[in-house]
Amino acid sequence: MIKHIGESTNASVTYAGFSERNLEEVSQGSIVVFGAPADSTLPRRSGCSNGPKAIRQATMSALACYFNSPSKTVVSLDTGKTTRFRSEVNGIDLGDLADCTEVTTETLKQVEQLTAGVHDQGGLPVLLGGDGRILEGLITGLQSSSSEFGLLVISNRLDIPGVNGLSSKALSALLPVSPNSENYPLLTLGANGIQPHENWKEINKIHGNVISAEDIHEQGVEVALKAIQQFSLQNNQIVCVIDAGVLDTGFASGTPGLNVGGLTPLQLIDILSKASLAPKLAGVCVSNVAPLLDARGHSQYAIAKALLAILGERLFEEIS
Amino acid sequence: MSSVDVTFSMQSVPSFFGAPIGDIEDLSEEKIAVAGLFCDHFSAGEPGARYAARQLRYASLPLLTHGPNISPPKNIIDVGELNVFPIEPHKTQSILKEQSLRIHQTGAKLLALGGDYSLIPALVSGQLEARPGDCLNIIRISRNLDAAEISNSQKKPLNRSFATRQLSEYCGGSKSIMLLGVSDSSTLEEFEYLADSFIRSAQQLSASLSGLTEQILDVSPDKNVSFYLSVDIDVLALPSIRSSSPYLGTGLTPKQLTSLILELGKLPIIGADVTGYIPDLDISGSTASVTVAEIVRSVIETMSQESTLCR
Repeated sequence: MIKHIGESTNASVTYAGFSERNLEEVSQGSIVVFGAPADSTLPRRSGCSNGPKAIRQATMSALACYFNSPSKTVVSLDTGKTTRFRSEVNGIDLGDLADCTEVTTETLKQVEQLTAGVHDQGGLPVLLGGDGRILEGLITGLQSSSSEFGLLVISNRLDIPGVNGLSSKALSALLPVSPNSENYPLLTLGANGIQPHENWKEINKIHGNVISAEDIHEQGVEVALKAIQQFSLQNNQIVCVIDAGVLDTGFASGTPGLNVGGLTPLQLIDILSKASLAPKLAGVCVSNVAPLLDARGHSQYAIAKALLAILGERLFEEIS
Repeated sequence: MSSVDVTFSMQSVPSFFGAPIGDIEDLSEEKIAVAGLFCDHFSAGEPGARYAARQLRYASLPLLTHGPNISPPKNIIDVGELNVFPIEPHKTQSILKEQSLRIHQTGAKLLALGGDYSLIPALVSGQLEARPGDCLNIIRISRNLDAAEISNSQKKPLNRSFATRQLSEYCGGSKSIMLLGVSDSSTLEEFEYLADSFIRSAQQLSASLSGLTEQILDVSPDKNVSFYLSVDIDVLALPSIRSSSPYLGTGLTPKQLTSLILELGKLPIIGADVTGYIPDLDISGSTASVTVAEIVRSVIETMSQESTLCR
């Protein structure tokens, strides 16, 4: 039983101006946004509980040029392209999970049930975190109601963090895939720093792929785009995860961990804008945005732009 | 030891670049009157730009900016803050126009620092009244077009969203507007309104500044044109400076911006402003202020230059 969903008024604006509705009103093809304001625990820095609200507000800032236009249309001076925001899009904001202060098994269960509920009714679940551990709830919820999907994780880590007695878990462990050369179930982009050897091994074992931040710095975003293209060819449905921790701390310090040598916001947005993931999306999770740790507000803004890039043609229509 | 034996080390009252503090009687041709704008009340963005002038006075002290061997520009006079009425937009509009008129009637040029772009049309209208025969074009450096349709102007005469359109109407149409450093994405309606304007995106300017001033002169309808330069700090891409617009990751670097401003010095610049800088959002409390002070210095240099392209 999900309790208090939609009752929270924590968020002062809804995501992208979507209407605030209940789970029962989700219909086929709708984009369904909900937040899990679960904070991170030591040794990671706290502040993620403000993540969903900050992402919603930053999204409105990022869309300001569309909303300032009576026709919701903008022109790119550099490319000459004209793009319209689909104001008729069936978007729903369920609000935030109430009483969700930290990630617990109860929190994960709520996220799982809500995700399954949205997916069963034909909606696209978009989860706004909260600590990165909430991803587990989204994946479990989708697995209970969906056919096979590939997991695209954009993170500096190859695992999800341990919290409140729940030990950290390798990304590969989220997918119950038996080793099979036909599968390409997991692609991670932006890994950086020292990662446990076990996690690398497990990803290789399930025929996953890791494109590190260093690969992207050295070979350009094309190396990531090529990997996404191959990944997309072998997966009819994709769950896309953005961990804000993938961004370099110099550009975006508002995350529970520090990441020196991570991706720049422009690299992240460039990759996601060109990847055209929207038609195959089965679910989206953005996590680890701790806005109070970034006085300049770049972290939530970069993540808001990245999420808009993922939703791509579901939200925007290219006119010319 | 009596108290008179103690040696005090005194620092003068901060002024823009250590310039003499003066009043309208001290102004004349060749002088630049630098004034602060303590007003950011009429726009929807984040407040705080009202404090920019105060912060820039401290940050522009020669000791802080360049070390002891750099002397301040000789032709500038700090005339203090322009009078405003923060909760009365009509009175603010009227008094800004009046002050701009009086300053320009002395023959001096006005450089307004701090505050918000919504105030600039009032200053420009005062300038136009002081020099009724002049053909004035506007060079606006900003990521935003600010050319939304003018609505409710009786109730809200000062509004950033349509400030460029107001300037266009004062100066004889959109052909008189030059927009530089514009963000890649701009609303269709504003873009259509500015179809006759000279527009260059930040990306285009980053590639090259070559021939820019000649191109601006070529599209100017009047041969004896003068220019008003309006610089908004939101054009910067630098992550260490946050202005009233959100950071997009694209834009000009401080070096590119100062180069652009100095390049524009080939044109006859007869008035200028630097707006949109919010010192409270500068984490270190001084880095961004010193950077913006450098940008202001390049504006002063540009205003002081003899135009080489004046026809």
